[in-house]
Amino acid sequence: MNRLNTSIVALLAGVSVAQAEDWRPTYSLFGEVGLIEMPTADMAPDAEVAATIGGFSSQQRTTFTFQVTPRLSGSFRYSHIDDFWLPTLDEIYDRSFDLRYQLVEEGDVVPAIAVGLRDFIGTGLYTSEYIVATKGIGEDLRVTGGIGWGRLGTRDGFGNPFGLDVRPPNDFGVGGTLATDVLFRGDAAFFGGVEWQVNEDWGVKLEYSSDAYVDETSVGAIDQRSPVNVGVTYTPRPGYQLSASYLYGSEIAIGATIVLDPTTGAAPSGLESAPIPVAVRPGGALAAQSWDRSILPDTAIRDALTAVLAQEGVQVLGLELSDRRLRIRYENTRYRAEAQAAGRIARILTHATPWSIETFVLEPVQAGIPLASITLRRSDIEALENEPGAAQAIHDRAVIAAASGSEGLVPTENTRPSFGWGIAPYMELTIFDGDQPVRGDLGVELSARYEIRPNLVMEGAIRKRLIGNRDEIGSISPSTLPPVRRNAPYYAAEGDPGIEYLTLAWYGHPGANIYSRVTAGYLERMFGGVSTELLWKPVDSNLALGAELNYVMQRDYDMMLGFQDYDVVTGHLSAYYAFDNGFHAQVDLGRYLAGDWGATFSLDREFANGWRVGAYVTLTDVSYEDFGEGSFDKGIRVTVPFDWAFGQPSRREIETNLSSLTRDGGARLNVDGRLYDVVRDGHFFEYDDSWGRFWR
Amino acid sequence: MAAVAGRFLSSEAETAAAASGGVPDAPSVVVQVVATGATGRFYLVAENAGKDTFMHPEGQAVVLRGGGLVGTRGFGNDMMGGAVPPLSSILRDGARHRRVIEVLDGQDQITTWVFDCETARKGDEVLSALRQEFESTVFEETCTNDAFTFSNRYWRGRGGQVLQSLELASPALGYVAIVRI
Repeated sequence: MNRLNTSIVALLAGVSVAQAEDWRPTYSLFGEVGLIEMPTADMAPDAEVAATIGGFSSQQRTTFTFQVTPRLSGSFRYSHIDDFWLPTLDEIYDRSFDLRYQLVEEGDVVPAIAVGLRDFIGTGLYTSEYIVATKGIGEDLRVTGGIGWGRLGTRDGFGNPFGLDVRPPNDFGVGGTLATDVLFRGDAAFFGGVEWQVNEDWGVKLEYSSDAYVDETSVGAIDQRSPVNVGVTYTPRPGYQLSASYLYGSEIAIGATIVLDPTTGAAPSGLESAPIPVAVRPGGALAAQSWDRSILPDTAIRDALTAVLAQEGVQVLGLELSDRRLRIRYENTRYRAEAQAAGRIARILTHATPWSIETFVLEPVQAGIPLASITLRRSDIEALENEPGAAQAIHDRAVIAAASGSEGLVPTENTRPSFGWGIAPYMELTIFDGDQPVRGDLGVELSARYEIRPNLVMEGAIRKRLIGNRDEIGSISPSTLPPVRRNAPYYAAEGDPGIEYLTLAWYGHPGANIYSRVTAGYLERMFGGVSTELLWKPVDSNLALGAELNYVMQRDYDMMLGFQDYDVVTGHLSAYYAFDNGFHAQVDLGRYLAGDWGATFSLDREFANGWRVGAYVTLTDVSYEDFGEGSFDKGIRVTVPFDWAFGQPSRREIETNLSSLTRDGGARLNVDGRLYDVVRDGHFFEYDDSWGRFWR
Repeated sequence: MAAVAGRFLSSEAETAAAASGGVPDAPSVVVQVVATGATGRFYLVAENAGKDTFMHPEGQAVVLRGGGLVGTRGFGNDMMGGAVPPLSSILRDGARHRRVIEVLDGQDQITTWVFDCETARKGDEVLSALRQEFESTVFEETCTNDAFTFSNRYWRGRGGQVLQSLELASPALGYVAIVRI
């Protein structure tokens, strides 16, 4: 064997499937695709996610950038600025948002042209606008030239080319509002530079900056001796970049970027075991019309299927058997894509059912609710296995519809009450809060779950901090609103140990396309009460409508069983729409925890593999002044599925909210198990909905 | 991102142990992922219309049709489906045929690659294995499409059976060696 291998490996030298490397955009100290501090007109590959930490002695910037579409990118930045130029402050932490749109794609002669806004809804410290052009010369050199306004128009500025000479001063206020009255106004200035990719790993950048750092210079925070910056980039692998540069003749800057590609994971087809091969019926068996139940009784089939499917992480909830047809209702607990679970179940059915059964009806369930019905022909499963085009073909031949009723289904033994518990470590971070950018705790969480019926579940969790500093209460800013979220630090400080949640949840499917939820108990760490929800979502509809009504009381700071005397009726009417291009919009209208009325608008880009990147804003009748810092609630959120990261099958995901300013206005109840997320995974109607995994 | 191959049996001892406890009489092949060196013995567990599924005790699988690789599972960057004429018809100098390889992309979508291929006879070689020597004729199948080119190799024994081969499973997984001795 070893000798054979030697002869095999020896001949590989001449064989390669590698493809040529394209130009790989690099990130600036502002965490966007660019030069050193100046932007370019380049775009990252579609959907790329980049997290950059970069800066120099008196300014450090942490930036999250997402290539929203091939021509639109968005950034969220959190900066630390030392020697701040207001006499009352030594340093500040500041949030900012950027957008860049590529107006013209690069051609043979035409450069790429982009327009961008930097810090357009922050406190305005970096506020600037630009129009920039970038052109490649040969394969390794890119030249950029642009014109900037605001901060980018402060060096050798000239009169406004549009005649908009007056740029109103930044109105700091409480920050966080759209600065429409300053855009592209006031002096403009030129900037530019070149980037040279020396080899696959190393690059060199040279730029002329139009940012004179006027305020920083006035307080001596930076000593600008030159407008020219020079730097090197090191990109040893596609996943990360390092940079070092010499800025303004006086400052050394470094930067590091982690780049993630949501469109492809560690192991796209997964590392889980191969599915069991299809058992093909012998030719003569196809004519069988029934089977001998004295030899193979229904109960034997039911018991065997329940046991075998449990090995696949599939819990069988009910079975209906007739001579020619089998209907199975099940909950998939292992595979992110219901289509993959369906494919694996279909294969197992070819082994474990009598030959006369030709029709398999699969009914996936989540939270005890049947979500859809997939009807497959057994002969299609037999004929298509391992054939090219099999995924599309099985989707075309499957009949997908709403789940049918429970009549005829025989529940399996598995529907008896089940109990589970666990102890796990947790880590919790509070970011962007008060005067400390990050507070954190490490501890242990004891959780338990008692499934009285598949759709009636009691669960709870207790947490105990081991180490951390979230028990320090920083400053809690005054406000005229009830302290529904502002006092979160008290819970972190006094709720140790504390009951994170303790709830009884009941899910229902009261009518065609209608789903219901009632959750009662300690719903989240700060509120307890009753939460009710209805959702209308047809199996093949892009639109869903929901209504939620809650009555909640604020919990005691010690996070035990007591309540304070603040209570509120809160709830929303929601509309959800899944666009065919992967974007997903949600609008919630209603009353928030502080009793304020308003709406939340969310837009997420969702990937078939479970990644989600999105942004939301909440506007309510609370004035910007009453809301406090940030003016209104807004943020960016990212969801990363476990199986993308590790290649092993899992339904778990990590959800991160990147700008959780804990304020009272526009605050929503944090109840677990909202219906839309539970239901939609089971509505995998389109081929795009991961049907490529059916045969995996 | 680099291919993450499944860890499966890595030594002859483990292979032998698995064989003695598993299905010793079933036909088997030895499969090696060339990029990682992971090697193991795979046993025939199912046949469906000329497609033979060989599985490893730890869960990876390869599917052969007419001797040629048309599927893999459990390697992280699998060939989800494939089509190639039986090896008996393509292993002759100057034979032309079409090959299909399907892979699953990061968005759970099937990408289908279609290649135009041509086989060339590359001469004779003596393989040594199991304290025996096997005379073989080497064929190289070169497949091309707009994106890239790859070459599979086959060692055909004197009796006409393929002794071993080196076949591209998918662009990300690379080549697998399949030894049929």
